[in-house]
Amino acid sequence: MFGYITPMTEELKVRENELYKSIYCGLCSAMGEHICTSNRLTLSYDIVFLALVRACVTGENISVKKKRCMVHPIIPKNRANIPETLKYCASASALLTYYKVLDDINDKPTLKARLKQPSARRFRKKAGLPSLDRVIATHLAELSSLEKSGGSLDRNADCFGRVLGEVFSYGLDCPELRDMGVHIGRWIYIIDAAEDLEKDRKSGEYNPLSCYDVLPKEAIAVACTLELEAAYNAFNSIEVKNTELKPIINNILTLGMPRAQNKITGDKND
Amino acid sequence: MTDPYKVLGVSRDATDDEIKSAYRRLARKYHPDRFTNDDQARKNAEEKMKEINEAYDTVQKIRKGGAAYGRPGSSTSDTSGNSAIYATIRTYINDKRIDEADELLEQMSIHDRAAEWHFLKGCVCACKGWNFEAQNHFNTACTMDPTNTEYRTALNRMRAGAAGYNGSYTTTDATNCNGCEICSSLLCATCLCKLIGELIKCL
Repeated sequence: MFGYITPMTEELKVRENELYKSIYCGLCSAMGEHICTSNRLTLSYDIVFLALVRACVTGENISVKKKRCMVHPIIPKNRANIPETLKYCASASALLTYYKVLDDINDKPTLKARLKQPSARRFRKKAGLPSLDRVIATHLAELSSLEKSGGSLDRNADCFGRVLGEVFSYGLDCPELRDMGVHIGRWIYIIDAAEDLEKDRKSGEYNPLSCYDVLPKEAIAVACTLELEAAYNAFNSIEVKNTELKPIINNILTLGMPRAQNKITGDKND
Repeated sequence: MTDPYKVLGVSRDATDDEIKSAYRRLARKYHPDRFTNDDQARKNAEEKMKEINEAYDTVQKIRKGGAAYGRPGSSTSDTSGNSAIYATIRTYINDKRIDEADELLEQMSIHDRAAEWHFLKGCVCACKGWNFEAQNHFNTACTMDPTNTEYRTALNRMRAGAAGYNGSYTTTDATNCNGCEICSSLLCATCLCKLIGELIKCL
């Protein structure tokens, strides 16, 4: 996951922004508690989004307390405690980190990538969730074989979408949530491919868009926006139990993610 | 496939006005709303109505674009004789049998792939939610046959769909504004209380 999924903070209400930040803080400490302290370094906004969505759908009670931590040892920060949701998100994050490291090593077995492997293995072991682990492994193996055979962008994106569909809906019986995850995953895959195109071309790494001489910006923008719209519709068809979080999630889907997308597909002088 | 002229009950050399009036007469005759009491008759009328509409559309298309008869909505540039396959694929797509449609498309050799092939492939991709590739195929179809409005419409509709995704946040936000309203009214109330307090003190 790549940190594209952030809210447009200036459009959030102050209390919504506070809640968002406290969930960010809560997730960080949950990662330390359930996985290990070094895992907290891999904290990303994408997983915060996952936590928001899952807490919103399940309606799990959120308690916010001021707490100090290593990063903020003097001034205490608001920290949200959502035990089940955050535990799951920390584990899912650890699994995704493990597979990301594995993927990096497969792409280019540099020393830096290899050094990460032992700790990534430990994250995975601590994460538990063996059934989710298996599903992610199958889909990602399929994805890497598709990438090796030069599969099309949409086909690969589907595969990655299924991974996130599983991560979003794991343990909850909610097909709309899976749908939402699938579209978010497809969006991430396409955006990531578009962003990395130049870099991959220079380094000679695989990119599903490398068959295009120039990045087809308009087609990418339209395709991504349609994914976002599908994700938005899927999410808003769920009867969520926590309405407090809904505006934050809708902010991310309709403002934050389009902004991240515009940075890549929009004109340079925008 | 039935002759669209026969369905409308006009001769092939009828004028456009004659065709229009024949269509109107039939549409009035078979309008399903006239058969509200009898379900079976209503169903038959609906079917007939569909047939009439299709025939009228086909005749319009033939007259406008000079498309070959027997291939409703197909492109003029296709001369390779794949019309029957394309028609089948269209039926599959309409019936949402996407995999079968895709299989048929993939079976066609690369040399046979005309503008219509790319259009239909684009439709298949769009049905799967593969919007990036769908656009590419629609684009190719449009480049190969720039005069075809069907291909152009498909591409434009897709772009318009994406352009419509905006501002939904502000609307949802407006409905969820109660908490904020309460806060601001409370603030106002506090200010007022203070003001009144000051006033009383002054008195």
